[in-house]
Amino acid sequence: MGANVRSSKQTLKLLAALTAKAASWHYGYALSRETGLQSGTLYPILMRLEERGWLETQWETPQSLAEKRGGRPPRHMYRLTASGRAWAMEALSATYGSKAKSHGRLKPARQHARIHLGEPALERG
Amino acid sequence: MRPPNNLGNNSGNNSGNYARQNVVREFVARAFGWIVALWPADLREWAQAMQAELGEIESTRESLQWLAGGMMSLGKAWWNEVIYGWKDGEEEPRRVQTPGPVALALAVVALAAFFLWPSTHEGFSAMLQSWPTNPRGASAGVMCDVAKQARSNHDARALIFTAGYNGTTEDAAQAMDEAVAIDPSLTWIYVHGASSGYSYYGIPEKHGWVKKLEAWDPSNAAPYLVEAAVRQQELWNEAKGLPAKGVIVNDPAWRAAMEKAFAAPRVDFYLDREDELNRAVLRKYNLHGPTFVFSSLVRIYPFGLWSSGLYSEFLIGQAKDAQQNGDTAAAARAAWAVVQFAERLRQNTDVEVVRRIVDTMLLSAYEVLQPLEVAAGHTGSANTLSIEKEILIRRKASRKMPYLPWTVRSLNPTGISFHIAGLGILLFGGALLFSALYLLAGRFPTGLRAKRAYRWACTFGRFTPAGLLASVVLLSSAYAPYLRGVNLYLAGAKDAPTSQELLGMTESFSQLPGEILGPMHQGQDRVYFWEGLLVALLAIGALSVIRFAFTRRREPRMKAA
Repeated sequence: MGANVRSSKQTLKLLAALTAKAASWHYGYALSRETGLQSGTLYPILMRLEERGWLETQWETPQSLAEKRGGRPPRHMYRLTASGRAWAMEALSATYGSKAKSHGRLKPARQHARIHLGEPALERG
Repeated sequence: MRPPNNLGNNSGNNSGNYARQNVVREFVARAFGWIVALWPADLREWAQAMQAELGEIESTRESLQWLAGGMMSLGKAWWNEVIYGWKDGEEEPRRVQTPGPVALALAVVALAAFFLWPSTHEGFSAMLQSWPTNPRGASAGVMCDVAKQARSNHDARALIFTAGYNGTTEDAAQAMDEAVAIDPSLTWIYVHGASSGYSYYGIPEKHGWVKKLEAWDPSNAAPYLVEAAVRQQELWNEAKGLPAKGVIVNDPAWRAAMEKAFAAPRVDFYLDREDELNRAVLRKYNLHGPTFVFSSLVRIYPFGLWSSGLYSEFLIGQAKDAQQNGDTAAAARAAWAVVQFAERLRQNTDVEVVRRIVDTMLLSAYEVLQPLEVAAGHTGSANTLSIEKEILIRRKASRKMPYLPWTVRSLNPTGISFHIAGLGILLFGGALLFSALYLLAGRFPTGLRAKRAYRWACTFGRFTPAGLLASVVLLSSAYAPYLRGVNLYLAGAKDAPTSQELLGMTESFSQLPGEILGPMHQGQDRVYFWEGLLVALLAIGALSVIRFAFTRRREPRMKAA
């Protein structure tokens, strides 16, 4: 597909959540709660990221199901690929870096992303 | 990548042990099954991913929100699938499915049904005609064609039928004269000519219609009623408005005409003749559409009733005055004149509006006659009149139908189905045609298969036949009862629907266009419907272009990996 991935506010929120624990797998519902994005917004973004090769997806395996979840259906899991992390870092730093410089503060999720990017979070004032 | 086996089913029933604690959550689970089934096949695992999360959501409200998100994502997925399927020039992706034999079979069945079932193709034509682009209606063009044929073939009946569509009022009057010159047995048409607004322009007098009618059928009251109406119009023009009743009844010319009408041995409005003429023309020129049937039925309306009612009031007033003065013979004479005219009127016409007027005339006459019979010692006759009076009073109280022969009804399912099905045929038929032409052209080495439109053609080709067939069946089911009724009516069958029923049917088809387009033709209150629609479409197009440009501009740049 040729859809563009925009660095919209919603995309950046999701990237912040995904980069916070970049090595871990994330679940859709958990991401929705963490970012405050509705499923109708979240999943199209996930689809576009996956399509660009920036998101890795995987289904839970039946073995882990039996062990962990007592027979519940397997869930879809997501994490950024290496190229996805690189793009996310750039997108987040490009956006919040300039905003942080102008406003001198970040919201918690953005701070989270900033920490992950290896830069010091800006304090109030 | 596909989910493990227990999510491969799209039915929505295998959502594991998802806690269906209440009806709403069960509904959400089922609805998600449908969403999964409707999702584009190559992206379906995303729907299954959303579905799998349902087990984690404990709140009913959140599960409903999740469902709403699923529906939104479904719409976006299809939008992306169709719009961004792949870029022009790319090779055809493996996942594009061309229309299969099922789609082809459905398309053949739908097209065969459309062309072979008269209720479908005639219904579709009627649907298009019911959306007029000018105030005179889409039928005006057809009527003008019929009028031209009628003139060249010297078809007097068709000339009369189409007279109203024949230019100015004067032109229409000339067409009637022309028809009567061809076939003098059609002279009765002047009764209807005089009743159709021609009196306002002095046409009956100018063309000598009254004299011709009185000479042609002197024993009939109708020509004298026309004469009275013409005089009434003159009084109207003199007064520059509706003259007082007293002015009319005291006018010697008007009263002389009404005296002749009440004295005539017959009252014949020639409704049967007009009905027969209409049927003959509709049959001959194959005009089955609701607009034509409506215009022919609605013209069958007796003329001179208002004058008759007014003259009856005048006679009853005279009877009461005579009664007070002790002249019982004069009182009885005047009242019986009303009764006799009313009975003659009733014998000739079986139209609701006539029945009402007849009942009013009879009731007022019986109220005068009954005490006269009692006073004269005619007990039997007095009792009969008393019983008749009771019957009339009860009948009057039980009548709830509107006065006019055609009724204004609310939107009904038949009419709505008719227009939705017609719209479906337009859209699905157009899409199918595009698909067929594109796929056919794509068979040649034209490079069309590498275009994005090829995906649209494939998608349309796979799905529109089912939509077209459904629309054809819906249209046929909505239009077939009407068409059957019209055919019976035109054939003069005994079990044909009444004109009232047919009027109701025709109206059901024109109600929706009337509701939407009606205000367009009302002078200063005109609503710029089409203009508004055009502006809205242009605005949507402009916004889409801007959004596309904006999207492209904001795409983040990737550094070389």
